[in-house]
Amino acid sequence: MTPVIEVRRLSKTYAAHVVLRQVSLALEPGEHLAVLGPSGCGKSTLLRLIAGLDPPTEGEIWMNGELASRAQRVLVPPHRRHLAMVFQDLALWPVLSVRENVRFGLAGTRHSPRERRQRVDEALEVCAIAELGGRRYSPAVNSSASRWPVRSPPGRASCCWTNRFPPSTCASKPVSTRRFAGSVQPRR
Amino acid sequence: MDLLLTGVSNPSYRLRFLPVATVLAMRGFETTTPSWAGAAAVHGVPLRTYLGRMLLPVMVPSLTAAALLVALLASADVSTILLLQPPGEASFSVAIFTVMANAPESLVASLCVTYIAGAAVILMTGWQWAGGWVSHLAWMPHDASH
Repeated sequence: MTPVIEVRRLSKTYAAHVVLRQVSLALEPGEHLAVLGPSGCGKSTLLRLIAGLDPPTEGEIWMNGELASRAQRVLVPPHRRHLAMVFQDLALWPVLSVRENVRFGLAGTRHSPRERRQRVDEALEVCAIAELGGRRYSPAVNSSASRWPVRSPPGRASCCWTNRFPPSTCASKPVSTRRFAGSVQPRR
Repeated sequence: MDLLLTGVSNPSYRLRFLPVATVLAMRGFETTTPSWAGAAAVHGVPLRTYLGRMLLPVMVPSLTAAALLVALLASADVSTILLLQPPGEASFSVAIFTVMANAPESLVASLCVTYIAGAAVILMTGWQWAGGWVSHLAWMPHDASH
């Protein structure tokens, strides 16, 4: 069976600092992989390379049998890799409401407004935060976790990788943010 | 009043404060995080949509502050203009051009080299600073094509 994600001899260096050296792995469909290690060992860098946000210094990344990245080149852009990414800081867009955050992730698709609305509603339902869709960011509170209504930060993050139901998801330290793990609902 | 109109309200005159406005705007830009652009790139949000609906609203406070500060500095410069350009005298800009026209060629050339070198340093610094952000924006699609 063709691996969903296959990494071959991947290396990444920033100036003289070697972050990843000759990393290889393969994920079959339905398989889960957790990358563990101390801070700064390159976990997030590996996810960024797989997502196509950075080109590798050496090695190759194959997605569903297609060469997606090779040395110094990103051949398949991030939005065409059919995967979702949950960033360590959840990457919530602060000027948008919860619903707008989820809908903004569909801005680059060719869906009609009606389809987008349906997908947003569905994603909010799946993440059990439908009633919080209208809530907005409140800069008055300093704590980043409490700037959003309860369950919304992880909810939006999980919604954004649910709204298009991608086959693969990369999550950077998903349990490091409060309440994130509890917000993730089984997807269809 | 003519002095105010031709000096303080003149756009080219106010360009002198562009570095101040740029520094303030850059500080506002630093309040954004690279992961916003990364998330937009993963979702295929078009670059124009990201800049218009996400980045611009975040930047509005710092851009407003920059505009106000430039206006304040330009207004405060009125006294300097009056000092350098008493009634009946040539304006400061004209005085500079007169010096450039009449000074020895070597002196004018050295002034130009100094000016270009300073501009190059500013541009290189800005380019290096912006490089990281440009790399995040590079993967965003320019239109909704998927």
